[in-house]
Amino acid sequence: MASVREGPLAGIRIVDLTRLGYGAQATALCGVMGAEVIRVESRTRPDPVRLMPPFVPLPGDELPKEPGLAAVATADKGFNRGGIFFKYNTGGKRSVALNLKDPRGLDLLRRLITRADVLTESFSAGALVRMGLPYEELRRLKTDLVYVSMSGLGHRGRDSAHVTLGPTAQALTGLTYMLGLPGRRPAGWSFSYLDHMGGYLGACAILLGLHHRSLTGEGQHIDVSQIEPGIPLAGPAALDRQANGRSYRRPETPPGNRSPAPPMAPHNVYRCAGREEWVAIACRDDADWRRLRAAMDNPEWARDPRFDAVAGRQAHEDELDERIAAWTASRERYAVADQLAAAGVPAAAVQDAHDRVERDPQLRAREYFVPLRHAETGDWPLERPPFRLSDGDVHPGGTIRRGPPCLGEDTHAVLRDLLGLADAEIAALTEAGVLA
Amino acid sequence: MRGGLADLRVLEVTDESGEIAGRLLAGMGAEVVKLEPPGGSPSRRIGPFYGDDPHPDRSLHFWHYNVGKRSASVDLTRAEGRDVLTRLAAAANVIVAAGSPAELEARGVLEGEQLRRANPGLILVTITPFGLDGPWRDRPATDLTLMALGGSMAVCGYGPGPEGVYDTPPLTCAGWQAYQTASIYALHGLLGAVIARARHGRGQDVEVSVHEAATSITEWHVPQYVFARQVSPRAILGQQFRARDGIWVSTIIPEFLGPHVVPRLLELLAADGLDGPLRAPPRDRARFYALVGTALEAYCARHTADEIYRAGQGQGFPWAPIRTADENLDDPHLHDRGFWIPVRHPELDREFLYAGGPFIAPACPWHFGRRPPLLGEHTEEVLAAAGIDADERRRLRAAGLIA
Repeated sequence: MASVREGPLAGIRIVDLTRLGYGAQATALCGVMGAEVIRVESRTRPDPVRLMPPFVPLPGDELPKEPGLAAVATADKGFNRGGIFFKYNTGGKRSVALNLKDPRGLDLLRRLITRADVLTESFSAGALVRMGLPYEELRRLKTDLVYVSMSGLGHRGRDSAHVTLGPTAQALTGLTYMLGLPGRRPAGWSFSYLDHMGGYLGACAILLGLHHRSLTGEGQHIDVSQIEPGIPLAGPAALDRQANGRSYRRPETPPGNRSPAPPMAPHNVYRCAGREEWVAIACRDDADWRRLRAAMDNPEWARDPRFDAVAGRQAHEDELDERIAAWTASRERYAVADQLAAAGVPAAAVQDAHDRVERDPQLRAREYFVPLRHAETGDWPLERPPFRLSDGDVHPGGTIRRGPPCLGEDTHAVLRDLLGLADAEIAALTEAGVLA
Repeated sequence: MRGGLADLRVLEVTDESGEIAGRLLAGMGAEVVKLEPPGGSPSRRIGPFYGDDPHPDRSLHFWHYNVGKRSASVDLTRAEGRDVLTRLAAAANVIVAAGSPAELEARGVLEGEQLRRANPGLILVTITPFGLDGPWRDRPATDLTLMALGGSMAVCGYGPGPEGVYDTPPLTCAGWQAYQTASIYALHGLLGAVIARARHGRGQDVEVSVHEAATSITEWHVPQYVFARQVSPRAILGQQFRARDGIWVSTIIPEFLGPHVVPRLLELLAADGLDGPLRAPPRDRARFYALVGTALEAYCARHTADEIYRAGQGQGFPWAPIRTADENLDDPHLHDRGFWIPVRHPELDREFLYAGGPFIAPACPWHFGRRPPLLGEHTEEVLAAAGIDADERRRLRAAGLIA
């Protein structure tokens, strides 16, 4: 029970210069699979995510009892209480504080690289070159290094200087356009979906690089862009244009919650009893529709033959949606979902963050939230990755079962144990402001 | 191909929910065989279609998600078909299966231990709506219902009207993003298992929950609840304006980019004489950003989306036009990077550009060795390679077990 199986990436060491969300999530995924991830960061140029709200309360601070929309305090909270940092930096990452503007700090980074399997960074293209660490130099430090850069539009190509955040990348790929109602302005994702997906495909780049190295013995510089992971997620629009001369930009796109292809109807969310509470219902085929109709007690309107086949339901989808919404309006969203699911119809409550943390029985049964310790603020529930291995440890606390690192928390231990620095040397470097 | 994932022989048994995993594996060099039911995968019936002809070999949806794979048609719902699968699995080293647990069980791809008796190194990846345990394990689901549960819909869509009442619903993004997310996570587990197998020789099961995948992608929303008990209302992302050519542009200006942001913004607006109201900025940040918004709206109305993109990026701002995916066919930067990969379709005597890899890995370049497979195009060669001889293949074909 208590014994921890080895993680699939046991023995792999990543020296990690990534910041923000997109880069940090790539290395977090390696940490949860057992890689040793050493974040190199600095108080002189802190990761902005360390400074952003929501702030993590200190032990003894009282949390509001009820969810609400209270204004967020913005007073200085130090480097260790940025709440989103906790999401991005799971995997038992260590933190080593190095001032890379000081040549001695840069030298320590170079020594760490000699001991690394993987080097990751998410600076703008060219930043590492300006630090005197072009790939040729990195390869000199570690012949078979897997170097994964994660910049906005990649290091190669005429627009490599462009900068992206999640919303930028989403706009370029087509994923912003695809979220909205036809005839209206794009709504887009209200958060950085491509920080997640860019990071997840960055993790694939690391894993591919490691496997390639194990087959051939060679390292390489893998050049990740934040938009190339997103374009394939936007579906076959580019093929439609080439095959049929049809752009995705046309009056009937995006489809909102409806499903023109494959044809499914009803396929939407419906308002339920309560304040802004909704249920999603999707009929995959005519049999699902008949199940839904029976679950609604076969009302007369639903027996109209216009609704028997999916083509008819789609031709009269506004009316269909209004009728179903009238049925759900007085009902509780989870009750509707439970009733329809029991009848075999895909249905689910539209859940917010409160629902996911406090209410979702599936997440609870599978222990999706795992308590982990953070040195400054105590124990907090962090999210498990959505994959499990039958014969390998995958854990949001990584091998060391620890929450996200405080800035510089592991500086001493890493410099001493990995680089063999004496305590006195470390003290002198600290005194000189190199380990800041 | 040498290196990359060239040593992976993958069998894919998926409905439409897991196909992008195989697409990415193929691009990274794996040999991917898609096992399709006799009538073809459901995704062959999803439009749009080449020439709007709903033929199973002409679904552009199928093309997009299945380029680079081979196809063998085997009826896995029958016991003899599952025997064929066992023999294919003995010659493969990875299976990727997606669908409901009941569907996977009926196709013989739920029990990794059983499949590993003949092939101890086999890695079995399952992508199911809720994972393989828990009270919702067998609930029916679609991408829409999983996106609803995952939390992104509650915060995506249009904001409320002036009365504070929403007149539009929570929205999901087209393109099945819950399925896509889960499929990428499946690759992490799969590649982790491949790396572990190189060390200890054993295969294992990788279990992925689409529900958990969709739950994981809402950035600050879970931390905001966990740490501050706050729940954000549904709203569009701010600072989008309509350009002269009608295309909307995302013009976010995050302050954490640094103190240079405001002077550069003023410089950009000054060229159009729109900087006046911001020269003596109000101290109140909300008022200041309201003025910025007014100025940017006027600025955007005077220029095309591409002009705004280039001018903003020229000042170091993370601005972008809100494109459709196909508009990226015209982006010269992506062509510089070789992102669009030409793939020849000999039957149509045409070549199409396919969206390529998520990164450039020079030692193992992205490649799609073949166009998307015709239904059952490789049944004979795939079965032959697994040691099923011509007589047996004839018998299986006559029995309707393969096609």
